[in-house]
Amino acid sequence: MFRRSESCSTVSIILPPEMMLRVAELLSRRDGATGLLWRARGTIVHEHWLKAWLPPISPSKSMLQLIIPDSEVAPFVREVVELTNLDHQALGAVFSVRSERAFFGPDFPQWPTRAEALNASPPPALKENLHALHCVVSHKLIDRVCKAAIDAGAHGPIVAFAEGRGLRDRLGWLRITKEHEKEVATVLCDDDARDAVFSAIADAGNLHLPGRGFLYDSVVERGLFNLPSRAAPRHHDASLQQIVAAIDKLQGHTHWRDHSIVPVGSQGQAVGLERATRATSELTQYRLAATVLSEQAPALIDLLLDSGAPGLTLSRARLVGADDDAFYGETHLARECTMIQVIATEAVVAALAAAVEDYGEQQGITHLCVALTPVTQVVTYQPGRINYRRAR
Amino acid sequence: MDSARLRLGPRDTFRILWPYTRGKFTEQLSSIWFIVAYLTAFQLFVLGLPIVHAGMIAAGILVVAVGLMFFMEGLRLGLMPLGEIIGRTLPERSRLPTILGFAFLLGIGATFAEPAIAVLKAAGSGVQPAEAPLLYSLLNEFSQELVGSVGVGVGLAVLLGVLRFFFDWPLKWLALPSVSIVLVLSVVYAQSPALNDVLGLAWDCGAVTTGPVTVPLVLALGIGVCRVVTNSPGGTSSGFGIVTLASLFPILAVLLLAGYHFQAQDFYGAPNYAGRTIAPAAQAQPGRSAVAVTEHGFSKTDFDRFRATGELPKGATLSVSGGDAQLVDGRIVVTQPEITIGKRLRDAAPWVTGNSWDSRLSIADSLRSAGLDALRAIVPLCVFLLLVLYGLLRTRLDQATDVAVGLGFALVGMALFSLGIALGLTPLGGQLVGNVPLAFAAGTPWGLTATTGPLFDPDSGKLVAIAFAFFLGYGATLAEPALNALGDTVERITVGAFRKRLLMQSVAFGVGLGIAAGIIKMAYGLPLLTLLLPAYGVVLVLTLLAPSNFVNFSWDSAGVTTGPITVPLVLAMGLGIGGSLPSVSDGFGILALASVGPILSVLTVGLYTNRSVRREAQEASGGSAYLTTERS
Repeated sequence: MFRRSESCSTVSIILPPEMMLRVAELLSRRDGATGLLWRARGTIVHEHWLKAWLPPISPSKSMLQLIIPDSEVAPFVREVVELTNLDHQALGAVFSVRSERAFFGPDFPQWPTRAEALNASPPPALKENLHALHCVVSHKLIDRVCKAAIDAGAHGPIVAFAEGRGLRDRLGWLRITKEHEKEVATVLCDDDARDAVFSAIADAGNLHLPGRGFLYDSVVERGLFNLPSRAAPRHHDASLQQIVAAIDKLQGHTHWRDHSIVPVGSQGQAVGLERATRATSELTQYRLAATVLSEQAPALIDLLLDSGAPGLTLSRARLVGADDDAFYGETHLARECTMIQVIATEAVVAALAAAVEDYGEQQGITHLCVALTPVTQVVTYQPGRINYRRAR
Repeated sequence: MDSARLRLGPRDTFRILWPYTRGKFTEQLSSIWFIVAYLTAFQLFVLGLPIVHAGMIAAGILVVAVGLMFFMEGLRLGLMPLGEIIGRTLPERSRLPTILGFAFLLGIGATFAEPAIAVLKAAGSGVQPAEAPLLYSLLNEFSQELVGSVGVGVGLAVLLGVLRFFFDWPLKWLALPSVSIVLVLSVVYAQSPALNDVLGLAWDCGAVTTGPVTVPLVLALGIGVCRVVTNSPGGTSSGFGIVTLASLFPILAVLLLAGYHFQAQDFYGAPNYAGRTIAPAAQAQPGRSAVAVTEHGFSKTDFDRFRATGELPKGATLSVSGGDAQLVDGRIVVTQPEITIGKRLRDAAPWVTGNSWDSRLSIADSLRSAGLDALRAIVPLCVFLLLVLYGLLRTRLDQATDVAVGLGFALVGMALFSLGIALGLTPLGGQLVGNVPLAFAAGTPWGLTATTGPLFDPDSGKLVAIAFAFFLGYGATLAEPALNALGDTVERITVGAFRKRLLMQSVAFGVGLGIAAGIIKMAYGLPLLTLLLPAYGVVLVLTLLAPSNFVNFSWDSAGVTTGPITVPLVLAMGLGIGGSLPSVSDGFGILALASVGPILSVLTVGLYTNRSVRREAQEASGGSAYLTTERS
């Protein structure tokens, strides 16, 4: 009953909302093309003293995620980039992450594959050495995390809302004491800057402590981004080369440049990385993302928690695409989907995926999509690894 | 889910509950500390007067914090999820007429539940039938009609607001015509003396209908509807705007009601009046006694002694007018003068009471009435919502226990909150705002026996009162629960792009400005419209300029500012200052000004930041060095 696929990619598009309308229109013109749409915000660090003191107003963004067969990724991304001018001036990003396995319910719309192969080459501006870091923390921590990422050289992270589940559901009525609102920051970075950004985020969020949050990294197949991180007054606007030269002069040497580019996992350990690596899991981890209609989500959440998921991240998105129900003329009734994400070791994720598949067939949950993506590095509190109370 | 449930002993339960409770409590303390510290400091240091009933006030403020803690948690867990799930399922499961019927009933129900309506009626009880006959009749004989028309106004507003989501009408094109109609009607009414008196009441009705229960509920409903309803594929609608309409339509409703009775000529003293005309002397004047000047003259015995002996009584002042003054041998000689002998006001003000507790106020009674208010405000609404949810929509709640706990919290919180206000904030604010007129007029300080003179000369005294009003408005607004809820909603809908803190600070600043303007109006005897019209004029221009998402929530923030903390303080201050100034008949109208202020301030902040964010984005994408290296 379920359709399987071993060659799928998740394409994420981040754009200003008014720009995203064009992409949504593109989708609605093509039968079967659907995506999940989130609202999100960008992050800009203000350096003017008055604006730095005021609470920030961040640029609003939309985030669209689509699951596309590998063969269709390049033409579609090319189409989006050309439509939105992403490689020239639009502020946004597009990137694709390859999933290892995916299966779809019979009602989940199938991406239309075209008979004739279009110009299959990806647009020239795409880079192939990118990483996507996702950090799930509570909203009290998110500003610190974003600031740390920017200070470590990343672009302004894109932040969207999510809901955390897991421990909360095992507490009975006491669960009211645990706020489930979380925020997810998405950061794209080149692989030479990745380690610095990764450890900066892990340290800023103290993610090795219990109940703090989650950080994981997945390898981007191809992508491009153009997202500002800082708004500085004119007279601070020095070029990167000028800044580097100034620091060289102040330090009197160029050793300082080495600190941030030390690879993790090998013999070398850079400053500030020690804690992050200790909490990092060595086992291969997978990310399972199950997408269902929101009204069917509660049952699936219970199922996943019962089958041994350590914790869930839920995010609600609007389904956009051709199968919107029209309602009262111009007005659309959008369908809302919930994306449930679990990150766990390969064995656990495989068991969960099997459970979801069984459950979906038994209960007739037909609008379902499950994708498994390998995750290269994870930072979170791991119970039993170190007793954090005694260690202090 | 239950199989994996953890077993917790009492110790673990405490260890989970304690940080939660402590966190929530300090959060609420941080929202009310400013207004409390400010009121106390002003009374002690600027006016130099002691705080009467200090013990009771301290206990009351503690209770307010506890009540707010429960109430806000109740909103987060119970009321708002309930409203959101109904808003989300309603468009899917029922047809448009049903949805509109629900919206209308919800508006009416919410109005009857709103406790502040009762405050308004109490505030109007001091109205003199001879001075303001139509206003008097509306608040007394026609009070049922008054509440009814406000209810219908709010009902229509919720209906239109929901309809707006479906057809994607910009809020500008609903709010601006409504405001214009209301303003034009106000200008017309201002020409007739009887109708002019009603203006203040009408504007305040609009401000008062949107309270701590209605606003979060209606906001959550909007969020829910907008989660499913869109106008274009991929487009987003915001979920705001109902609150705006719900504060405009009642004004219109009250104005129309007043116009109807004016046409029918059946109000107090008019030809068709059905009730009994009461002699003006029989009317009591509550509310003004607190600041009435009681001992400013000589008694009969003083006068008799003066006539017998020709000796001036102790502490007398002389003033001379008229006559012909000449300087003769270093003395001023006045021929045929008119001499007035007055009594000098004593400066020292002894305590009337050393009690730290007001004996007239019994805790049991206050608790009972607060509890009843809370029941009335929350239970019927929740019953209605649950009926709709289970009966009409046949949906199950995802986490029903959370919602149940939340509704319980909301009930307890509301009761404690109003108890705390009655014990703590109202007495503190009442004494203080009663004392503020002392800055520029003579009077008896609240709860003290002696009279004390103007503390400052008239002009700077009025300035002190105006400055006081600004910070009072600012502090009280920051403590308003409805504004907190709006801040959370704005942050949620914009996904954190517009922060709660920024919204709350700019709204509080705007309310402060509005209330200060209200005091200027009273202190200098300006008509309400001379301030309202220009303010709304600027608002109209800004609204046309601003992007629509800012328009939506800045107009909504106008509606939420006037809640259970602000309204009693502001009305008491209006009555206090009104009582000490001969030219002012009532304290109405300040709330209306307090509603324009935040629209102005939030729109300004929105326009400014929108422009600068856009410019920075352009600059950043244009020639900045790091971006080009990023994209290589």
